[in-house]
Amino acid sequence: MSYISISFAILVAVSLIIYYCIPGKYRWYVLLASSLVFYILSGKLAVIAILVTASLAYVMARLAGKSAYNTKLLWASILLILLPWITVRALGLSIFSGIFPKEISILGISFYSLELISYITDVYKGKIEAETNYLRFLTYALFFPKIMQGPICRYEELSPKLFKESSFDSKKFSYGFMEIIFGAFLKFLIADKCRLIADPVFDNFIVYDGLDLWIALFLFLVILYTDFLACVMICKGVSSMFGIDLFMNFKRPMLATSFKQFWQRWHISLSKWLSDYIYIPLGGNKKGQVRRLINLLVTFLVSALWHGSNSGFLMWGLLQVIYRMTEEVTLKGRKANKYLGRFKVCFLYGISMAFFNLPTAKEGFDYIRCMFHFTGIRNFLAIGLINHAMGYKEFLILIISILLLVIKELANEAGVNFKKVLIEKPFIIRLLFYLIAIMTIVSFGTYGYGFNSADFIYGGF
Amino acid sequence: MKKKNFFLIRMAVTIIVLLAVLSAYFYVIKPKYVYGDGFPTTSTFKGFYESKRNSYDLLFLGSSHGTCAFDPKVMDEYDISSYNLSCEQQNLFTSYYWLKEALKYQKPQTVVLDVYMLYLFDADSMKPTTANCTRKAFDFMRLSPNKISACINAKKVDKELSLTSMLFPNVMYHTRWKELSSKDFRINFSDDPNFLRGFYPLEGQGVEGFVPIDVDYEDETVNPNPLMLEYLFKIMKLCDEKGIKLVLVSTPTGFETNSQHLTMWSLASFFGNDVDFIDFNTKQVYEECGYDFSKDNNDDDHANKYGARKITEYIAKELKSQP
Repeated sequence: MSYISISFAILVAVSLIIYYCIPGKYRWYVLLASSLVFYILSGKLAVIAILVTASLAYVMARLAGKSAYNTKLLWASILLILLPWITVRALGLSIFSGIFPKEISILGISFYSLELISYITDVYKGKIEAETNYLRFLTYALFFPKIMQGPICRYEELSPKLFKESSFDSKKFSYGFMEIIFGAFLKFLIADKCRLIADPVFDNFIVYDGLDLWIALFLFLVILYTDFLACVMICKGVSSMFGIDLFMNFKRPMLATSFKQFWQRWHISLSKWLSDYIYIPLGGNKKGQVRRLINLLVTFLVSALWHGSNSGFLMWGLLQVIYRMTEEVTLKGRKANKYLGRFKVCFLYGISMAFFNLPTAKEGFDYIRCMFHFTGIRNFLAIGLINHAMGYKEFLILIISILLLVIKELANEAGVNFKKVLIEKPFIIRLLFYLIAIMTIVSFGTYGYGFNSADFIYGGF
Repeated sequence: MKKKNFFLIRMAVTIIVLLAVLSAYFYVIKPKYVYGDGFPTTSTFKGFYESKRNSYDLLFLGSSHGTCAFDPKVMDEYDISSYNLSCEQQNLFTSYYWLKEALKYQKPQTVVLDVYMLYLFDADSMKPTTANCTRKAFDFMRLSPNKISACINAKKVDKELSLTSMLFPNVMYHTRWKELSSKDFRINFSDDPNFLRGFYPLEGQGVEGFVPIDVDYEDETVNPNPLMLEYLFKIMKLCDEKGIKLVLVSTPTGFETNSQHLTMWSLASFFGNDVDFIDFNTKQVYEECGYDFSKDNNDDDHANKYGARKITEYIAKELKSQP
């Protein structure tokens, strides 16, 4: 089930009505039931995989501290939790493509596997108590708004919010509505519009001019960011409507002035997870520069593998380590120039998209090589593509939408919070804003007949 | 509690206003086919809703053959008030749902149904009804359980159709904002000076070689398309329940066979005196109405405006001659 489908909207609406109609202490049962319905509607394999993995995590966590083989049990638990994920990733490897007819994907597996590992590790390390109520644990593991694309929620952060007997909060509900509108804006007016131009170029990049490839590469960066942020905003918005605040997974990463800052702002919950459960346990930066480099390499290797098992992702991960290390050598602790820093991050991270969006490292290198093969403006196919895929009027809408996003990001960076500003306005102003925003998305968005806008990029991880 | 109620009221207002704006948007964004654009499907159906309630004695239904052959103004000359609900590529499935819809607003004594699609329709390829023409036929039907049922069943019949987009037109048409024109904002279609109550006159002339059927009653019958037959029976049943006389009509085309004629004739006879069958392809009717295929047809399928007069007059006289 996609977050941008009518069935999802109906599930959320029905769940919200029941949720607020019953007493506070029983509300989490509605979350559990809705999550189960969400999974059941998403396919048999998805529901079996998460129920088995979550049950395993529950049982193993209950055994913590009760055996002399505590550490071995922890490792066994982690391996068992990772088993479905490793299987899925292995099946995705090209060497198996002749053996298995198609690649299997299980909804949200990369996200909930990491959540369950963090839970079980924290229990074994004594940081948190194991949950004794199986149904409550399932509610945490299955909570449907965050399951597809995160954020990767820690048990100690999310569970108090899930089971708190709170009364209806109209402000949170309105915030949630605004976040969903913003998510839809990002998805339909930016990400999916950019795809109309970038996808055909990536699908057959050999035939395009170097200029086309530059445009498509940086449009893919826009796609990746806005598509992921869109899904995060929708998840966050739905959660807010249930009165549950989810962790914000992005903090304007494209305005980061260094790569160190970038990884503190991009997919924050994954970066934090990798830092807490890989980088720091390996020794972090406390065991000398060589060991630190190795730790960074291992961390980004895990990050790359988390995204996928192909050589393109591995190269992308390696590039991130090179960027980080080069930056540290060149900056030597100095603060980067704000504008140059931002340009550097956008440009270099954009270049790494060639590896992120193509299945093999070789194709990524080929793409970059072709970017410098200019054949002149007459062969500039993107002009034809813009005309063919959307036409200039729609292209103008895309440019305006991107500009609006940039203005919003810059304003947020300067401390302006549009949500808070809007919520203080009279009802009629808010109503007008909702109407204009929704009708803009409905009228000018890229979706519908002949276009599959249901796939979020990070939904595939 | 008071705060919560206040919030619920505001939420209700938001939803109502949003639904109203969306409805207006859905109306504007749907493509409109009016007189001057070819088959005036939108004018036909919108114009019907604009008609005075219970003002028609007779309704026409059918494919483009009916659109070009049944002229309500000719019917007026015989004191029969009528409306032509035929449209481009309308098959009997669509005719059934539009008849159901029409009977909410009108109480006709007679329904004239063009049966061209009974044989030509192919359930495997959905030809000759394209998904686009099914959309044209249902886009301006008012939202009701009848429309929802029509859309759900149409989707079952034609896999190319998108149910979501039939109920939420923006899914299919939202990119039309670039091509909107003044006619997209028009509310009334029946005040158009060219409005002909669903009739679409064709001007072409001159197809030679038509030979009417000299009916041979010894010939064998031939099975019509099962889906069309199912909906023909539904139309017959609906007319029977409402006490409406049903007249099946086959307009002059170059494709009908003797076996097909016999089948349609036996189908009409099966329902007894309440269902008539007028076949303009048979020698008898062709000659009686003075039809000349080379002058009265636009092409090898459709009647032109002269042919339409002859066909409509013949039907009117037949109806007037009956007690």
